[in-house]
Amino acid sequence: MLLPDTLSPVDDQLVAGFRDRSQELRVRAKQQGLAVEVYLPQGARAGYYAEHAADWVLPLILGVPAATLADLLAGEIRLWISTWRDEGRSRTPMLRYREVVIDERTQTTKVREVEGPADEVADWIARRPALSPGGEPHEEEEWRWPHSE
Amino acid sequence: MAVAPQRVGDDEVRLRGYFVYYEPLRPAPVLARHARRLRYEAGMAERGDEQRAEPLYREAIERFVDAFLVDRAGHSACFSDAHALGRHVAAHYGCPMKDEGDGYWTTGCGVLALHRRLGASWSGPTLSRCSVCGAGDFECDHVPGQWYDEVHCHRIVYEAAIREISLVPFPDDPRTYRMEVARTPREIRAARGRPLRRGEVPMCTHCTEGCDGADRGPREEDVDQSLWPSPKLGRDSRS
Repeated sequence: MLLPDTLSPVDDQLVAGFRDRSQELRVRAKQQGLAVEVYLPQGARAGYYAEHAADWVLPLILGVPAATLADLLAGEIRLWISTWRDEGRSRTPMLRYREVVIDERTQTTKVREVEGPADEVADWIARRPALSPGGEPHEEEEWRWPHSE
Repeated sequence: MAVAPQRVGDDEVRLRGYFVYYEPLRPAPVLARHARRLRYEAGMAERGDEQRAEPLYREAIERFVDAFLVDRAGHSACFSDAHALGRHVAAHYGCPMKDEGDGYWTTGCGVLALHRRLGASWSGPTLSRCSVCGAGDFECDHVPGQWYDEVHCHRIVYEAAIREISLVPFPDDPRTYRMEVARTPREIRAARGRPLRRGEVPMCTHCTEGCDGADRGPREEDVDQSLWPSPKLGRDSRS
């Protein structure tokens, strides 16, 4: 599930603002038979939110993506890098990845965030340890920070 | 879209620039080709009509600047080309600064953007329609950037609520490194070693005296943005 970055009024309407790659990820996932939903709080309508920090900021993802979705994410990022290169840019774009994990037991929410060169972040997303069914890590599984090789 | 200048004290910095461009950003090779074409046309025009050549030279400078800002490593030669043209233009036509009417002077030349480390990016929510089917956000399966039966998909934004404009090292649009820093009368006096005479217009001498970018090319830190120091944040910025 993709979460909005903001919830704010625009011209008297409550707008849930998603990052601009959200639609692309949603459609690609749908084409591959994966269910990716866009979460809309009650009374809000979907819109976009722009705020520049890295070259690309992925939408907030609820939970740890399962392997199939992680592969899709990594593949999409590599495709964007290829398009970026086709546009004649030599620099490696920076990418920010974020996931929101809710702990039902403790009623707490953690936001994990990784930002770095897009190719390295894509590799890390694709290589993360296999996840348990449902997309959540085993309880004893530690969050592993990416590292440059 | 420009940021309007505000009256500020003599010891403050006044910035003016753009945070959004109407024209789409073109790839660096296209910009560089356009710049070389303009430079050629200006050179040809200069043989007959020097006045017609000047705007062509100035536009060529801006396109060389754009090409460098879009792709620094791949188009580092555009840094030198822009400075070399700037030197030629300054020597032949002069680069007068603009009087802001209250003692401040600015220059909007893109060459200065080659040395800037911050550009402008805005933030806020937007509402849009799909250019292919007219559906609202997330109501269809068309993907922005793709073509559908020769129709390009993009978002047609009809509502935007701009929350803030930030100065960031990697702005959304690299053209926003173009930022005018107004010179105070004190700075002009210090640079010239004397106050301005009545009616005198200060000239920008960046390409002729201030910078040897035309000869040496860009420095490593001009090309490699990873060498830029991170801007201080929060409490750190006050120390």
